[in-house]
Amino acid sequence: MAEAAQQQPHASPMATGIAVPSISDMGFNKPRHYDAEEEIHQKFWNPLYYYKALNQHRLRLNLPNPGQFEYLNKEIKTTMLTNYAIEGGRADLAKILSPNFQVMHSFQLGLPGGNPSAFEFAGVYADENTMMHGKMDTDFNLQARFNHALSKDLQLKVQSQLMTNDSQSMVQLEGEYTGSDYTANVKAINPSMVDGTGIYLANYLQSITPKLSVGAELLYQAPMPKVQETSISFAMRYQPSADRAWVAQTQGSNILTTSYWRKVSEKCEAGAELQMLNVPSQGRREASCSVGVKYDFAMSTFRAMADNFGKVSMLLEEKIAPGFSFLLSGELDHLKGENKFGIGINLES
Amino acid sequence: MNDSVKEIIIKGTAVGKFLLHWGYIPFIIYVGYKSSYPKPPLARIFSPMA
Repeated sequence: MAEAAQQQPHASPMATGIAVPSISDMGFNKPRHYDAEEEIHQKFWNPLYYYKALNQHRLRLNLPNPGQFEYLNKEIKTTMLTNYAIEGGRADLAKILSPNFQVMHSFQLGLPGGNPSAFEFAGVYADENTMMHGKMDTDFNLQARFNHALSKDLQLKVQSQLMTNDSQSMVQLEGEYTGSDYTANVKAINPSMVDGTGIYLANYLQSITPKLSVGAELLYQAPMPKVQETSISFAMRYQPSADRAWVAQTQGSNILTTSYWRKVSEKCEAGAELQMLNVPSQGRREASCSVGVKYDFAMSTFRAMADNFGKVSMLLEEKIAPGFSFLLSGELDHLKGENKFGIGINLES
Repeated sequence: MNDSVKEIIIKGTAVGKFLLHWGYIPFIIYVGYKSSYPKPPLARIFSPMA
């Protein structure tokens, strides 16, 4: 799936310094001003007059911008700990060298698999219009991200993974346009001008009422020169108030994901997610459900999650001193008997 | 599309990949170093302990 190619950076709490790209930071939030009372100076015989009149009707509806298509379920992604859990021992040493520039050294010990220890170097530069993030590990694999705001509405994003084993390298080019009540996004993954292979996506998200927004995504895949495949997905988000959100998304005609997020109080957020998979040709029908909760205290954040496969997991992040925080993560898989534990420190200086 | 044009594109992407792979992080460090005032000591960038 195209979703697998997207990067989820490890989120570290930044008490000071620049905004490190994280799941809850959805790009550049600049105030956008659209004038619905602007007088139209064109005349009725000018075809652009009708477009402008229609646009003003639309602006008078005063619909909010729905956000980005890939972050429709952003609240549930921060509540669930699937992106934050760690395994083994981990130390993230971040150095904020200036409000725009930051460098991070991260060490990992006790990882499962072939390579038990790892070191990664990451550099981030963030400007008003530009953000550059590069991460390189001891096997010389590079993960690079580049965001540039060409104007207040148009954003260009490039994401790339360059491995020493070149067949696994990928590059993703993305262009996003944010309108007053819609967002349009075009993505190309590994586009090749030579033989036309690659994965191309286009998605569009529109608010139709102040609480409801719907969107669609079109996927065109050409893994080999003569092989082509397309699919269409739909998404819907209903947000009756600022403290709860319902999201439903399909991926092609096989996968349906629904989620509900609720902010129970200032310190507590909870969410539930249900994912259903139905592939008639292979006879597979599977579903998975997870329930998670997040507690935000003054000096710590606690997350807990339970799965329908008998997995129970927990993550505790404790700010022991300004710039020093301690992470404890545990996952118990009762059905398979595989348990994972992690301990980590985040140090900022 | 001409075969020679395809050759140029393939070689060009290989060179571009090589430059991006090895030059991206040094480029970020260079841009960050130039734009920060006061200039941070280089030891802080390269050593985890500084």
